[in-house]
Amino acid sequence: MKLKSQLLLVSLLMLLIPWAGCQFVKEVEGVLRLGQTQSLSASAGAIASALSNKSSLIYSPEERQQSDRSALQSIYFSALDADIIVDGYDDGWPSISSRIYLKASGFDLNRVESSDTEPSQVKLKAGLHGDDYYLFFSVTDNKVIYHNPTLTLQGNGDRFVVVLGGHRTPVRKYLISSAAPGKVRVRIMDSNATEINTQVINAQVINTMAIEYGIQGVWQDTAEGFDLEIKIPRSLMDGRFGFYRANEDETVGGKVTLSYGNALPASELPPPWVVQPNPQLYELLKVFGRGGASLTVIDGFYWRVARFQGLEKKSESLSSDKNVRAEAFFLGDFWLVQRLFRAILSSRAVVVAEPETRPGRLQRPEIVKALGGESASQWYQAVSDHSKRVLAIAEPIYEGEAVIGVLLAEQSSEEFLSLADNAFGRLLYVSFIVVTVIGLGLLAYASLLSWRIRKLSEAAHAVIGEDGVLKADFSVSTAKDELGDLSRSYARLVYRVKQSSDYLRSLARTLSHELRTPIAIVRSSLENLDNEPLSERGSEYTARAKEGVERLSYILTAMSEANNVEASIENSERFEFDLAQLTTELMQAYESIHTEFNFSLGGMAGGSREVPLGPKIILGVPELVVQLLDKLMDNAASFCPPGGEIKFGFFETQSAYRLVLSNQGPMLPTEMLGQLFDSMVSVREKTLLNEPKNKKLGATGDNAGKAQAHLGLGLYIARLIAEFHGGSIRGVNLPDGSGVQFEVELSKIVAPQLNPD
Amino acid sequence: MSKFIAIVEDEETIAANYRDALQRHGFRVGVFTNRLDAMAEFEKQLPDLAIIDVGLGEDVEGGFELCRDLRSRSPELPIVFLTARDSELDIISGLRLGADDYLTKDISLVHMIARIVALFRRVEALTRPVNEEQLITCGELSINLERMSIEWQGAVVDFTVTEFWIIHALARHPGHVKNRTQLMDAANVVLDDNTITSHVKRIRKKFLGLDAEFDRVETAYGMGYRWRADAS
Repeated sequence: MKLKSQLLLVSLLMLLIPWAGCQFVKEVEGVLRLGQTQSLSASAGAIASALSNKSSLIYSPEERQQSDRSALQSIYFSALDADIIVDGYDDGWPSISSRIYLKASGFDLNRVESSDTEPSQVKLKAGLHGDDYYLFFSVTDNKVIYHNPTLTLQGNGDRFVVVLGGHRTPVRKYLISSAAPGKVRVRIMDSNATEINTQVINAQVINTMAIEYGIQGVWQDTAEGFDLEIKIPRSLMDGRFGFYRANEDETVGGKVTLSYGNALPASELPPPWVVQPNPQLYELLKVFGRGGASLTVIDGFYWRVARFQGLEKKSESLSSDKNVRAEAFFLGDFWLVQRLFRAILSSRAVVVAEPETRPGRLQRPEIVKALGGESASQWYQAVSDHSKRVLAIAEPIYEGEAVIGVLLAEQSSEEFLSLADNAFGRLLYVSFIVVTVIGLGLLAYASLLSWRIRKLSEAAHAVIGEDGVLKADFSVSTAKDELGDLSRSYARLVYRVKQSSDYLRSLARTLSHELRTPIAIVRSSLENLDNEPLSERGSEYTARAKEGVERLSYILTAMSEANNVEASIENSERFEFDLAQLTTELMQAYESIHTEFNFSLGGMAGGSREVPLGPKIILGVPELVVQLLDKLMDNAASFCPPGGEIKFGFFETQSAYRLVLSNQGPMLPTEMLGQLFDSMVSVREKTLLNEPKNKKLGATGDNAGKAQAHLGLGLYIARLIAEFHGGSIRGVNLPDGSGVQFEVELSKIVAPQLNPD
Repeated sequence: MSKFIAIVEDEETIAANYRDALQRHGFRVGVFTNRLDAMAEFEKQLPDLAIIDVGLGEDVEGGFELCRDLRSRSPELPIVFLTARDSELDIISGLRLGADDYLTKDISLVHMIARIVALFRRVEALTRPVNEEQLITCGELSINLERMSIEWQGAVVDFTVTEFWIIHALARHPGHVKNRTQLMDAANVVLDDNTITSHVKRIRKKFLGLDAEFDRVETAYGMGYRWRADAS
């Protein structure tokens, strides 16, 4: 992995910054929540205490407070915005939510008779406007039986009985039935008639039943059954309202009548109290409700007796034009930021507020708790927007020691959420900038570092050439940091290595010089010994000793040869000569000498010109070039098996002449290729200095002694000469693996035309 | 009376060995281990031949000093350098100072004595009339074996013993190629190829100093050298 990508990976740690920011924003949000809870409960407490001892407002009439059994049977009349035309159709009724379902079975609201035979139900809407109470019954009945006036006025067909009064006026019952769809007649039921069995009706009684014109009603048939809409004036209502429905059906056994509702057919008790919002209380709440919270007063029976809907702020209205929107982005009002923020915050599980079990009736946990005398709070998810939260605070309202009701204050979290939104937006914005800046900075720094390291490694690479020779110049860094130190240490190392290799190179010279004198001593002593009388064995040993000294002497000669070449190269004068003529002559000479090899001129693969045509003038020393080629030839001859092929080629390139000599034979070990042309390096496997029998190929008989003392100087000398001529030399293995090829390049000069003589 | 040879050599064992060998051949030998002793002796009496080492102990170039001194005393006195130093620079400096030969310590005693005898012969021959039979002529070149001198176009060219033998070997059979080993054998020296090359180079230079048109010593690349016969 590159250094740059490593650093980039490490810089990912910076993502902790926004994470930490999110944690912080959550914390802030928690604090804000707490603050909101405290402030809202404080104001709720204040309102609650202001409402204490006002049971008359909560319970109107006050007697309702004492009701117990019938409290749950009460019908809640919600306030309507306008008058409703009583026509039997439910146009004009505000919403569907304020509806009570009454069933003959399974419902706890005044089931009068327990017969589950009929799937019949009533949907009830109740409302109030001005002095009129409105009721809309939606009845599901698979068989509607109309009132038959010929039978009886009272208990005949499907019908409703409404029970009113019992507060200031006596309890009255009204029978609502119809012979056909349309307006209904409402008859006052005689208190005596109530006990009459509906199956057996006295004609007299029917006749005595008067019509109540104060109550209007319209009956309309529907696909499921029928609808009945009635309107009752306040004067008739008298604070109490009850009803029951009598459903008549024909069965196999005859007629069965099933009655149900929140009043009992046979009872003379007053009907349940009417529950309705109190406008006075509403006015009172309106005063308190300026703070934006929704305020609700709930009585001891969980009835909502007053509700003031607070104003909800809408953030969307802010971003009307583009400038504002752009600004809003940075302030955190941007939708994406909000989304992100809410997504982070919504990890907390929040309860969805329970809907009203029945219209006007709120029985939520915090209210139950508050009615027990303990203030409570609860977070809800807003119905309209799932990302919003609503805080509900319930405070008990006291009268003396008794709890008479509950004040429920509700506030959307939007208020403070937008505050935290802003903070979050800024955080996001700032941390984005910071992360970007730091990331770019780190990247730039990493690039700089890796560039410097790369430069250093390139310089280190460049110091040692392909042939393993140290080149002098290593660019030393002046930087004061660790990389600079590294560069300087490396430079020192290179300097030391160079020194030591220089020493090694001069070792041969020193050694040969130093050894020459002791050898001369031995040699001259042995030669003197020849003139002394010696036993036969003695002279044999002397001869052996002489042989050894002789060989040692050759070694020294070979060693000094390299130095002599260096010296003579330095002292050589260059002049122009014809390389073509030289090589041609030389090759002819080689051919005549090395008869044991299959010697061929040219024939090199891919050779442009095999034998040079015309003079090829170069500036140099012909003797040295000859020596160079001699060395290569020697080398080739000593490796090539008898009968093997030695090829010579002459090529001309743009700037140089290339002489190529290849021979069959063993390959060069690859790891030695770089050092091949160093002094004292020999790649011959068996050519040990003390092995006189090694000379197996014997190119020239008179050279045999020298070949023993192979010190690997030949190719070193060849290199020196090639370099002196501004050229280069290299050895490669032939691609087919059959042998070795040496290539010498000697640089051309632009020579003036020679006079042919 | 036998010849007196002075050996100036700081390495006593070598000096002793040389002395023994030379004495066996009937020479009188004096051994000096440093320059000052030798100088003091030479004040009294000049030797017939001096064999000098270049480095004399601490006196690194003492041999050269001594050579210069001796040459100033006697222009004819044969001086031979016998040293371990074999660099081109040392050889050139030695010969420039007027030494008659420059031998490295590789040389065998037999070769060395042959050289010395040859040198004495040359010195003697210079004092005797020219013997025609000892003359080899090859075009404009004439070689006097007795005096070991060489004339080109009638003028004497001054060569060292080694150079003399090389020219002799080449010119005896004009047109024949002599390889380096043959030349070494002819000169009774053991030299590396390179030294032969530089000897040949020096020979050419000496001829060129006399005759700018000289081109008789030819290189046969890969084989050796030859004396080009007269075109005529």
